[in-house]
Amino acid sequence: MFIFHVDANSAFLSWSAIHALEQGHPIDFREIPSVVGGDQKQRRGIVLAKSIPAKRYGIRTGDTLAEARSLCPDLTVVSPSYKLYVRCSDALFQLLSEYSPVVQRYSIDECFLDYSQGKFSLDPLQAGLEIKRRVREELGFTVNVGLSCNKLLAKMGSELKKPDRFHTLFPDEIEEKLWPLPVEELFMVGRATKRKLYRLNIRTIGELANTPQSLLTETFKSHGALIHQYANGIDASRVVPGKTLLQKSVGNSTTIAFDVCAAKEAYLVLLSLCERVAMRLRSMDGMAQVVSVSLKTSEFVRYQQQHMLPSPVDETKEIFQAAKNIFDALWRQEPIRHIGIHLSELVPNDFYQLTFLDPKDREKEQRLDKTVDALRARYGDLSLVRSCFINSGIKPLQGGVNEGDYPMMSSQL
Amino acid sequence: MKIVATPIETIVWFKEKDHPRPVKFRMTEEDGSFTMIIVDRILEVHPQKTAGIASLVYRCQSLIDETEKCYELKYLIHECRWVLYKI
Repeated sequence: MFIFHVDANSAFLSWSAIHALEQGHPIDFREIPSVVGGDQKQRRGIVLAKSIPAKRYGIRTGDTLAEARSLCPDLTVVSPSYKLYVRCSDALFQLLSEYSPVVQRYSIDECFLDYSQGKFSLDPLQAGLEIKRRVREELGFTVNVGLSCNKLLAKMGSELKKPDRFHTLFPDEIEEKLWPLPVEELFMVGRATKRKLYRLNIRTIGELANTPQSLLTETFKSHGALIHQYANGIDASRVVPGKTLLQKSVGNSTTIAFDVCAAKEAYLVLLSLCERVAMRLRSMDGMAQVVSVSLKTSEFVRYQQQHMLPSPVDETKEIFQAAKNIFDALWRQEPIRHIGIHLSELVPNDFYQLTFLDPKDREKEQRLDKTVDALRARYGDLSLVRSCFINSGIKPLQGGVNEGDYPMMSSQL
Repeated sequence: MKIVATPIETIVWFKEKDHPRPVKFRMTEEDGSFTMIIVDRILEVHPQKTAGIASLVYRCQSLIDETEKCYELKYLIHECRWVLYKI
């Protein structure tokens, strides 16, 4: 088995940088302290990606733009362009498809490639080097390529040393290349798991691999067995060919530029988020069974609640109604700065369970949503808006658009 | 040569099989006047896919202000648009 993992180096930033250079921009964003993030003028946004010089100032992904600027006053902020990112990602996918029919788009900037099914003209090592070279020369950005016998090791391999590198990480190399790394570098070891592992005095991947599994399952339950296997380079997941992945959930949230104190205003914000999230849900041909609403008050207290619906829905109206009910149960009249809505337990929309209590005009409502979506896709998001937003000062559609709906990250190999 | 990526108006000869061939182009100067340049020679054509944008890049040569100059024109395939790419 030969599996490749191809990962674009600081994807969003380098894609924005090459695009700007192509437009005649004099400076390469990759060489100056710069970040890709929201719009500072609208007083909001977080760092989505950072350049290597920006990293030296201690700027981390997820910091607010204000925090980033306080660390580096001369910081260049580039607005993200999701269309560009999807186009770059498509180009990468297309290039990799020339090497094998089994290519899995794992996230917007990562792909897995199965190089063992069929006959190939190049041997895997040559192919890896060629992929790396061709992406750099033809598409203009650099990638890290990892080669191994399973997806996990290929992914860990491609993350060894960046940028523009090709690494192999076969089982006989684990001890030398993987085990000395800090434990948080391992796939599926996040901040919380790291803290607990440190408490058990497990600091490297090697120490984790050599810890008895029973000790780990006691603390972490099934997750313990999983990370123990991963630390030993064991993974049996298949490369699932396909351009897209089925998402497990879809959500949108927004930070409001003022404190929302009236329920009517909050409903409008909620509705504008529902419009976006429902549109995204329908574009994925999905329906959701669980609706969850989260709030952050002006004191930065956060709470959220979810509700399971009797049958899956995809209508904006139904989602909004459910979200409104949750909001009413949740809100304690304090000023709100941040509202989010999240849909999960997704099911495909071709077959679904109906109930006797479904609204009578459900099909009519679905047809209306479909028409509105088609009009917005053709004439722009704001071509058709609800009248309640007129003169309200609240945007009729809110929340970021993940146009391709490719997950940024995934916890499943 | 430096990347300028200035949009230009172009007269192009679409050939039967080969790549389309730019014949002449004009660009708008800051004061609103036009500068017209006839493409004397095409030295090289190569496809490019930088940042996923499919394009054809033409390395050309023309007499500009009485000196032979090399420059590059770019045809953005999906946008059906020409730019003076590098000069």
